[in-house]
Amino acid sequence: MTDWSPIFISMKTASLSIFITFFVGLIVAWGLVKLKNDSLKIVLDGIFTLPIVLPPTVVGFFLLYIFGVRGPIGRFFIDFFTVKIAFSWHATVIAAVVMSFPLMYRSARGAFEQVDSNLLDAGRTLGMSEWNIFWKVLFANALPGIISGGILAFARGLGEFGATAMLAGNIAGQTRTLPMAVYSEVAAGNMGEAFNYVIVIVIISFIAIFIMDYISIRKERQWK
Amino acid sequence: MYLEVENLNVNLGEFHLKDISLEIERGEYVVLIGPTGSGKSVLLETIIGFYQPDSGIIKLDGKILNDVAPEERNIGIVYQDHVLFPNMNVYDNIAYGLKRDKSLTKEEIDEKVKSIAEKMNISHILHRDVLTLSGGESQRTALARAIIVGPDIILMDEPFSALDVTTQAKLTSLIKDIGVEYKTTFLHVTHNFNDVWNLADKVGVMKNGVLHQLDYIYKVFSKPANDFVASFVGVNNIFDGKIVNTKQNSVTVKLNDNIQIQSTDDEYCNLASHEVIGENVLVAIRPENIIFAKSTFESSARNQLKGKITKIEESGPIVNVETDVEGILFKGILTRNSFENLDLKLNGEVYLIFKSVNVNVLDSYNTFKLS
Repeated sequence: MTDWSPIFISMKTASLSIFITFFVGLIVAWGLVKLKNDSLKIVLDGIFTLPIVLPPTVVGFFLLYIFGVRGPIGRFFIDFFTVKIAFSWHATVIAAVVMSFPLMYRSARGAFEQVDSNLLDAGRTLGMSEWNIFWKVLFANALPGIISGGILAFARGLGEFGATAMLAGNIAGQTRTLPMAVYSEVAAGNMGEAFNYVIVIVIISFIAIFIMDYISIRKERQWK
Repeated sequence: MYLEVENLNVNLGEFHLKDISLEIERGEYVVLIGPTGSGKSVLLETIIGFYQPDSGIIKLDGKILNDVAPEERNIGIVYQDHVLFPNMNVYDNIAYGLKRDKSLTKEEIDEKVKSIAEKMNISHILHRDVLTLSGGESQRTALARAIIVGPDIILMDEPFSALDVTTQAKLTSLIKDIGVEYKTTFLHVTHNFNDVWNLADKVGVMKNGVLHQLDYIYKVFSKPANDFVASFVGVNNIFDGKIVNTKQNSVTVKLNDNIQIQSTDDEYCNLASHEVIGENVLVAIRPENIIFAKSTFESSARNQLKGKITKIEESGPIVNVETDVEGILFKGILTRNSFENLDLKLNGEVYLIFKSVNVNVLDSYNTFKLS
């Protein structure tokens, strides 16, 4: 009988990670768009984009180094909160956030840069605050790009494997996400079980792409 | 003085605004003209706070604005390409700026938006998506959005240049009415001289980051500050000369060994002879101030010169005629009727007659400074 817990773990992980990635990605993208120092911008952009370029196991290695029981943050959490991050469900979220962040950040930054800067200046001359201009003008006009980034980041979080394996392991009922479950079932020779998980992932991914395209097409028609 | 700019310098790397000073009274309509790249838009954007001056002071109603953020200056701007928020309809674009005032209720905002929309004649399009508007409708919406927040001054950056002539005329009339009703102060940048004639109380002329002259229209057009201003505002006849005589009410300028012309330019007539005789100057004469005649006649005009027509250019109801007077080319304008009545011909003789009051003497120092 198929164990459905990987679906719930994956959805829970992807949902929390996209919530974090979405807002952090937006704020970081906004900060970088506003940054005047080009050299610093290039360096920061490199750091924020690195997780998507590096092999996931390498990212997982760094995460394990930081959040592992001997890592600076991992040790801190054990000492002060008696919470072990590595090989817990939190670790699946951290891995998903780090791996999906570049997609959100880069999409949001690209979308922000496409917005005519005169619109922001027009908002300023009307006496509006930077925060209001961010939400009502910049965010609103960059929305299609931001939504695309959000959905791609969600899908990336859902499909995360390498970094999750390194930091969270593959503990059934705790850290075994859908990709992990597919891997485990195939390794155990249970192709039927693996197929069930694959179907679920394909359906969820297709729905995500469908929503993304639907929003893009609707916005394009509206703006024509 | 309402808006005061004192010795403003802005260095943008390849472009500098140089030592700009200007003063605008409350309720005045000032138009800035000048060739492309002269710095008109940069000046507007510095006044509004998008560029930080390297030196100089910007004051509005006595308050120094240099360190005030654009959103706190209460200066409105209307752009050439309208810059309406594409994610909002016409109503929301106009209402957007009112939302900063938290004391306003939804009903009060609604009332204000509908009132300004009625004045701007856009009540019927309030629900429309801004991307479906015509150029005129967009510009009315942009103007309504700028005016509704009650700015202390409105800056206009070539607001009509993307519009057809009919729409320009309608908007010009609308802006005049708005200016009167709201006692709004305007600083308007344009390439179009019609905006100067139709709207301006004062006109400023800029080139290469320098404001060469800012004064009442008649003064700039009749008494340009230097040869650049003169040529830019259409004074085609600018000649080198030397002052050879001054009397109480007139100055005689020698253009070459055979031509002397008289001017009653106040600035030079009021100077003592010994200060100006022998001084190199420029003289400027507007082409429309030259009268063409087939023979001399008794008149109050002190300058009558005989020449030979070297060029005739017909341009609709106007004919441009160039005449060689002792080696100096004078440009004049006639209506087609006058041209035909006088029966002027190429290489034919003609008398050029103009009053001394229409001869402006320009300080050669300005020419030197420009070059």
